Amino acid sequence: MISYLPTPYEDELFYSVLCRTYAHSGYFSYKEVLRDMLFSKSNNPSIEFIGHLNADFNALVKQAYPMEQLILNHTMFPQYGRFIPLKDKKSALHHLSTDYCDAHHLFCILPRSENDLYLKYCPLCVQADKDRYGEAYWHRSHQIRTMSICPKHYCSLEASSIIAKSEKMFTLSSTEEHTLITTPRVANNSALTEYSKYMCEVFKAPINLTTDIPLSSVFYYALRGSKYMPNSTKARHTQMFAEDLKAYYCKMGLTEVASIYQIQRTLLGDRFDFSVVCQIAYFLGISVRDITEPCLTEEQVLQEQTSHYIKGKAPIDWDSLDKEIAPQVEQLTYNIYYGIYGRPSRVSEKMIYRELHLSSHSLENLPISKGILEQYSETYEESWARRLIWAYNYLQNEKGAIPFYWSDLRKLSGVKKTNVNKVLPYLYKHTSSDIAERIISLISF
Amino acid sequence: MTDVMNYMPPLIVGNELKEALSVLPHYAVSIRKASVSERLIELSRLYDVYCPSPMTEEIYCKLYLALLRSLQKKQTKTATIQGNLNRQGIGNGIIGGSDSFTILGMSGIGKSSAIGRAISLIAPKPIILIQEPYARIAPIITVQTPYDCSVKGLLLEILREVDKAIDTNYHTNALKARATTDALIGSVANVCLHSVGLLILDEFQNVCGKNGSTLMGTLLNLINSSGISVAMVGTLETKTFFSNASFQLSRRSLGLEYGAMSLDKHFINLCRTLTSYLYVRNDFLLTDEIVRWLYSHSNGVTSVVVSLIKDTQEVAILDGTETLSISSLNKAYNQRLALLHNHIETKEVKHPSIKSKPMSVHPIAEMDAENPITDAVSEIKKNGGNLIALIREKIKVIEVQI
Repeated sequence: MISYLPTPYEDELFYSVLCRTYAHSGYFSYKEVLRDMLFSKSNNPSIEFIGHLNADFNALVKQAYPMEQLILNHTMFPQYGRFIPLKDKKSALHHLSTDYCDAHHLFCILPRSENDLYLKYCPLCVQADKDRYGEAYWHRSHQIRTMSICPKHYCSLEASSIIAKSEKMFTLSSTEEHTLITTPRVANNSALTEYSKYMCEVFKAPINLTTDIPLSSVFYYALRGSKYMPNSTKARHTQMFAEDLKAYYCKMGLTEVASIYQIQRTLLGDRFDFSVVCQIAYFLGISVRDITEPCLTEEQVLQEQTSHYIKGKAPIDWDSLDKEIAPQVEQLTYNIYYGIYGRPSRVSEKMIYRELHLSSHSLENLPISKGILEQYSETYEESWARRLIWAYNYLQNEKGAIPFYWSDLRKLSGVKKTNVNKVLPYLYKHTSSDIAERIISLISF
Repeated sequence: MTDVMNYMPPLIVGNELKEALSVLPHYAVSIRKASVSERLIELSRLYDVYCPSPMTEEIYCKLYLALLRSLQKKQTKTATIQGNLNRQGIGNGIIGGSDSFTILGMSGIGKSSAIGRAISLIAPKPIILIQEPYARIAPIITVQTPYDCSVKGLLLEILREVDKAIDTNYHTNALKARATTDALIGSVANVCLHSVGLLILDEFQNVCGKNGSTLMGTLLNLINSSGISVAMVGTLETKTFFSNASFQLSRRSLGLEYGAMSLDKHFINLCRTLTSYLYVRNDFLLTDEIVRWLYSHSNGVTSVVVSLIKDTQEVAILDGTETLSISSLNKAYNQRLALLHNHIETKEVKHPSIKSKPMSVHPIAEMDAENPITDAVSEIKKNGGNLIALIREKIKVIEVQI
């Protein structure tokens, strides 16, 4: 059992708290302390979130500190979850607080660029922390993607040797042992410094858990009246916007500028990447408050949603769609199941989506169609049995009196001999015992 | 750590302390009418009796203040820096030792009992639980100094006791990791820094052995790296070790030293309390004569007094005399405490300042014509032994106070 859990410092990563716990404990190696903290041996300590803790340590952490506050103030939740829809935000917070859920299932976490591969630190912050607390720690704000300047001291952030990907992190590496550079590099780029400050303020702003104003609406009203969306037209000049944005940030010295695709998807409310949102918001001059706690009325939001043509983005009426495609689903599943145009097959969801041009997981919103699909659900073994029967009947009709063998059956049905034993019980279900026995004798021969 | 006093009981002094330290088991006069077996069983309650002395009060205060000082040093900035230094294996002890001191005294005067009573008042709960930052602190840990002065043995023993107190796995992990002594020192220092208030090293006279200096050096390192208070409890022979050691070691030996009790009101109170637990059928009156006899036959050592009174009653119950008197005391002294005679009577010679000499109430006997004294002396010269005891066997002896 862990006997000492230090209080998180201001803006400290929870991973850093675990590192300090290890540093101040009497454990001989990180493996022992991870065994007492994590759920299983195969779990890694999570750098950006809480991680999969075992029941005892989880209870200890919750007893010491409110979990929700820990997530909001000591993990990278604001980076990934700030701008996602309210329902998803609350769901993510709930899952992270109550049960372990991989963050990749809750947020869209993009691959890291070269500049964000390692944990970053500011030499002056390290010194200030040592003076104040006696030890340094990993700051959250330094780990924001694309952040290259310390928003407090305006010096360049240094990359440590600690890899920032949780999947590749197996140790607890404290700042004390891995911050080598002590001489700060002053950043002589006031524009980049201001932008870094802006990103940090957005990151640290309180998370809005009450109102759900789409980001697309905020950008709409920021763009409207500008040269990118004149009042006289409904269309956006996204190409021009992306080019100007890129030029602006390249001149600033930012290494990763949002692409036109990322900008488009963000403006339309499809994507919520923190750095892209900050780049757009800063470029458009949207204040920190307006981007983090937007104040738009329902009418304004509705106006935005109906103001311009969004290809394929009209809200879907699932009930109508379900009724409309149910006969098509019925026909399609029947054809596949009974092999109207060829060999009978097992009906799968993927086939339905492909043939009817539906998006993945649509059937979850189409109960009638899903019910039809379930009527035709079967195991693989059962479908192989039906194939064998079909193949036998086909060969019987085609060849007439000419004998045919197992190889012919195998070629036509596609069923392997190794699977035959699993298939046998289903033969009697789908055909007469006479034919079933003939098929079995062919297999045995 | 702020508000340390919130986690400790108040410091008690005066009569309130004496009452709190006393242990007086239940006694009913009716037990004297019970059967032999019942009385013999109840007689063992005498070992539970505890009468606090000035020594106990001093020890209580010393331990309380040492624990307080140690807790005040925890979770400070210096402690944080020290913890990181310990982890990195850097041997600088910047936090310094809070308070290391000795409690030395002859065997049997009640040091361990006094410490036990003091601990029960200072640390009524086995764990001090701090919420922010979360910490489980064992207020007082007691370990025995290894008989072979093994450094690793001592460090592992500390980890084991900490595990027992606060439910951790440090000892198991240390064994699995096959940690070297240097690694153990860092680990134990960090464990003590965050999870131990006061460390008591009992049987500290074992440090007078072969590797004592090494063990003492490790202890100093531990004290300087963990900032906790360490109390070293042992017999007076430890003084020799420290007096022959360097100034650095001798400095750490400052503390409390206790000899045998003197014949004072405390001793009289002790005798009165012990003899109030009467299990023989006949009544007993504690007189000055008996008090002086008890003092001279125990040399002021508490454990001997308790043994004397207990064994006397036991012998009296078993042989049916059912009387607690000087003659029964003598009988028990001769029969049960024979092995202590040399130590007590030898000390009589070495410490002539003790005012009273052993007394007995045996009447003067006529001298044997065979001159038993000469015979006794010859026998002693030939075979060795105790002259007075041998003479007593042959003739009746009366001793008078000079």
